[in-house]
Amino acid sequence: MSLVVRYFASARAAAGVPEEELSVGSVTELVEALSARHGDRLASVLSVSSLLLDGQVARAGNGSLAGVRQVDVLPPFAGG
Amino acid sequence: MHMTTDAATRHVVATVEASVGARELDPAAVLEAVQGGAAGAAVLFAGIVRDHDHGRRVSDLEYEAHPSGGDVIGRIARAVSADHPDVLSVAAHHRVGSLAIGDVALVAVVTSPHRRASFEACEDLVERIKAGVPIWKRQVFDDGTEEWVNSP
Repeated sequence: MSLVVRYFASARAAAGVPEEELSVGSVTELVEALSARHGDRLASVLSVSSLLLDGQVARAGNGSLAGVRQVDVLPPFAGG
Repeated sequence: MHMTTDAATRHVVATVEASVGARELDPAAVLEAVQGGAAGAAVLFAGIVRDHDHGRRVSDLEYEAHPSGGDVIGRIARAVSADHPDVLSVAAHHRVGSLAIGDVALVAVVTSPHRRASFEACEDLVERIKAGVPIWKRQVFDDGTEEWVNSP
């Protein structure tokens, strides 16, 4: 099943698009697919980003994306 | 049972206000909004856009928030209020969009009967906002280069 990836801030700049659809089964597959599609800059942003899976913070490791419809890529925060 | 004023105010639910938005921030107005009769101390932190970073001149600056930013800053403000039982009010407002040098990006205010609780809670509030609210900052330098702060 396909899901929508939404990029924010430096992730959007590195991906070159604000969002896109793809079909992957796990977080590891997602990171590999996005890195292959968009290159080293997004890969390095992904390595320090957190993910929201349908609005919930993803736990570390290779989580399943079964049933997940939306993944948000959140680079390190820099507010304040 | 006899209760002193201080002991009684400890169990009053603190007032909490928080937001993320594009509107210009006025620290004096935020302070005025949270002042009340029982507060003997107010500590206000203003995060201000500065004109340099890493030794370079900053010419332009933009903050971007995730759609959940307003909810997250509200949760943090309530958590700080809960974790610092002496505080009477907590206010936290973060501005997003294009800001100019000297603009206020963040206002954080804590009030309490005595100063120590306000100092401690306000520092805690600012640290938690910086660590936990999904907000990003893009800096443009006067040589035309730019960076997303804290990100490769």
